Amino acid sequence: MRKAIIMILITAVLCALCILPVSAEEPEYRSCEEMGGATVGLLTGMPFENMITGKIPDIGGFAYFASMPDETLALKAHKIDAIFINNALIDFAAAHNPELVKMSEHYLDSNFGFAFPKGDPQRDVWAAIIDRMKADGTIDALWEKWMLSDDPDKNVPEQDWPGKAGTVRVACADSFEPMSYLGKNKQMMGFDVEILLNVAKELDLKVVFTPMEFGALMPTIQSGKADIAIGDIVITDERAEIMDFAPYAPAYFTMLIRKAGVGTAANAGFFQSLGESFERTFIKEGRYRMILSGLGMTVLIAVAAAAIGLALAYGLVFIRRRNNPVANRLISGYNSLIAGIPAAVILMVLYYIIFSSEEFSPVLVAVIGFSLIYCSRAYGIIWNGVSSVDGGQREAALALGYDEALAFKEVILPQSERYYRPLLFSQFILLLKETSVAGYITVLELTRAGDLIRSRTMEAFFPLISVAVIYFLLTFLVTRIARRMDRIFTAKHDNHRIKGVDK
Amino acid sequence: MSLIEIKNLRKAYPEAVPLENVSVSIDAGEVVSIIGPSGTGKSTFLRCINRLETPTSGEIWVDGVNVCDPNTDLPSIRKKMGMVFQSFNLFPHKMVAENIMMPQQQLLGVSRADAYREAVTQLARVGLESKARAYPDELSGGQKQRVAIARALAMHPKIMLFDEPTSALDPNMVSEVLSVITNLAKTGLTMLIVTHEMRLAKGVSSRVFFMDQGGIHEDGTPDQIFEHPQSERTRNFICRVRSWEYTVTGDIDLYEMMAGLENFCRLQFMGKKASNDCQLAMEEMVTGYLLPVLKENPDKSVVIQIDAGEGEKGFSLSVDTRALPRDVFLAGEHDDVSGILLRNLLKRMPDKEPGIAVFTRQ
Repeated sequence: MRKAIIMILITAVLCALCILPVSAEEPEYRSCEEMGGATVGLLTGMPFENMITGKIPDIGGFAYFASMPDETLALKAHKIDAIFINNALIDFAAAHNPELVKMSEHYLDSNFGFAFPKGDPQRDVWAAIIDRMKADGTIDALWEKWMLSDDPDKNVPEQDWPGKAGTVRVACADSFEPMSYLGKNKQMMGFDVEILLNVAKELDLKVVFTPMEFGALMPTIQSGKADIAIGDIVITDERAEIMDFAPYAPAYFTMLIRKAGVGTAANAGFFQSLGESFERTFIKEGRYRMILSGLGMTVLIAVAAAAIGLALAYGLVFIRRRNNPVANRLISGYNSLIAGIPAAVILMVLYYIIFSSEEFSPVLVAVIGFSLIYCSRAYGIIWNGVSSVDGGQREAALALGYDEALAFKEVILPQSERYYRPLLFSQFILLLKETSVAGYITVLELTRAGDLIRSRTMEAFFPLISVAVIYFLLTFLVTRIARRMDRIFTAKHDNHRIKGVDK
Repeated sequence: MSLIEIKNLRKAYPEAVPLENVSVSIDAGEVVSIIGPSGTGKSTFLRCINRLETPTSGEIWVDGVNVCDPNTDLPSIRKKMGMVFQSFNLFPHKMVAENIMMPQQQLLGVSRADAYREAVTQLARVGLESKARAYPDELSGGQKQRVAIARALAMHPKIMLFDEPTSALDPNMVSEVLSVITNLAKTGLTMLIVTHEMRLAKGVSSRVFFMDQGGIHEDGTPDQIFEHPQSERTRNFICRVRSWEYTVTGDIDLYEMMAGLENFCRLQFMGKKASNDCQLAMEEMVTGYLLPVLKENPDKSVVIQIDAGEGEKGFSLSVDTRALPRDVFLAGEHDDVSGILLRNLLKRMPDKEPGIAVFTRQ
């Protein structure tokens, strides 16, 4: 009952966020000079604070977001007052949100570009073809198609060419509609993607896309896990220092702001809009499949990591029992290391640095990473459990003629197990939720699936609530299983029947 | 060769050397009690024999195998030696019968059915058949220790090692364990028993080791050790365990004193009547005579010593009143209940030393 009330409260708060008053006509600000006290939203990692502070000396502050849809939602909810971002995303957002408008000033005129590793000769080959496409109007036509057209059923060409020249591995941002995003059937879509496919067709190269967060693009190129990175990348001096670019469209930055005045959004009835949201979140483009496969991935990673981690943890406990000073030092070092670093960072270090070779898929690296994390925690729990067993138990077993290993396995471990098993389960629940950071290394798990749907539907409520509910049900199920096991165990203990003797 | 042959055994810790140059041999069928003051290596000695402790140097031969040799297969030699611990060490997650079955099945390869039969047999031997399906935490201390004995016996050891088997028990549970051990001693099993329980050492053993100062100080029959100890140290120890001292002050904890006295009476296997009389006399002595004076003189104290006499009846009680300003026991001064009671219980002996009154009961 209490759970239900909490759920309803969360729902209510999120609804309130979605249906805030919106304006009608004039922009809130005409130029940067007027923006004193305003909070400006930036995508994480965009190095424009100094420049903006230069233009707006009395700025209210900055807020950082992982994706454009999140930023747009925040802007509409009046949590921020402007978004500073490139023209492609602004044009798209303004076209799809009538209450938002682009400021007319331009900053940082530059180009969008495909990123290549520094010194890669392929860059020149690609740049030449792109230049030709600029000249013959192909690119302008594509800009028209992706940026401004209202056609709901946009597509990119099929890769129907033979691909005799081999394969090119492309890292692409997965939530930058209309430039580069994961669309229906989990296919890469967008302006950048179509240009890239056109070039690849000319070169007769097959393209293998790896969708990921924007922030993962540069490390992926640098670690050699992909040949080209695309997805709304604006060429800046800083980026040009570490990568080479093939420019394909003009880019500039400006502010996306609200229209002034307090208007009320033309709200359809709450339940009607709920129905539409449901349709957009789950039905359209078969998005429920994305949720399901994300859920599968979450469960796969958590279960595999827990199984491997648990086996490793028992291994460590056995090693620790030998009390070798070097091994002890290593184990405690390993534990402090894992305990001291956030899971997301561990995953990224593993993916980009330690297992940077391409035969390690992101899912494999996620399983390895979470195995290491779970192993460390499970080891701590089990070791605590077995250490709390009275030393007399070991002596009694040895005196009867058990060797150390058998005494540990048959006498010490079983009697501590009933105390530490519930802790292992609660750590597993933690792990299940923690896998949500696997998105950092491009794994498409449940949270990431929700993010991607959010980036397409431009709304927070339904995808977030759905993901929350699924996580909740998942952990609820695990808790149930744990409790059930505990009950079976207790019943077995309490029935006073000797196995194999009493029937 | 004897069943157990110990040569130049030495065990040293960084801060103490509990065993120094111990050599002794024990034949099959001997029941050896090991007594001595605390901290003199009695338990260490026992634990070296089954290598729960690793000796610093020396040799211990058990059934023809040197257990100190690093290459010795310890589990196989330990199977020949059952050990009973002060703290029982039953496996708490297993029922009583399973405690006894598990080692047989896992170490001797006995089938489940045979192991169960053996468990029932051994439980019957210690009088606990009905507890086969109880968990250890459902048993009393004495019952736990009897199960521990049954568990060791089920492995059919050649030697049984008892490490203070009654020290962790409530006084009223000591007897049940002692009678099991006593019965076991009659079967011809070789046994080594570390104990503070003098009636056990005296009653069941064929041989007693008095251990002190890192070695076996005196080795003899119970009669030799208890009645005719050769060395001064042995005699002192035997006397010390036969007498009990208490310092009475104005702020005395009467309950603690009486509990200590009761325990002493029990260890001295005094008869029930003698034990009751002793406690009654002590109580009257303290509350009737000493406390009134001590309350007036809070900085003074009185030492009372009780010595157990021969047999089950006699004891003597001596009171050192030299610290007190006056003789509290002057005859005729106390015709109240305390005085009468005390006079009926004990007879005052003529003073040998002024200020030390001695009362006896024959």
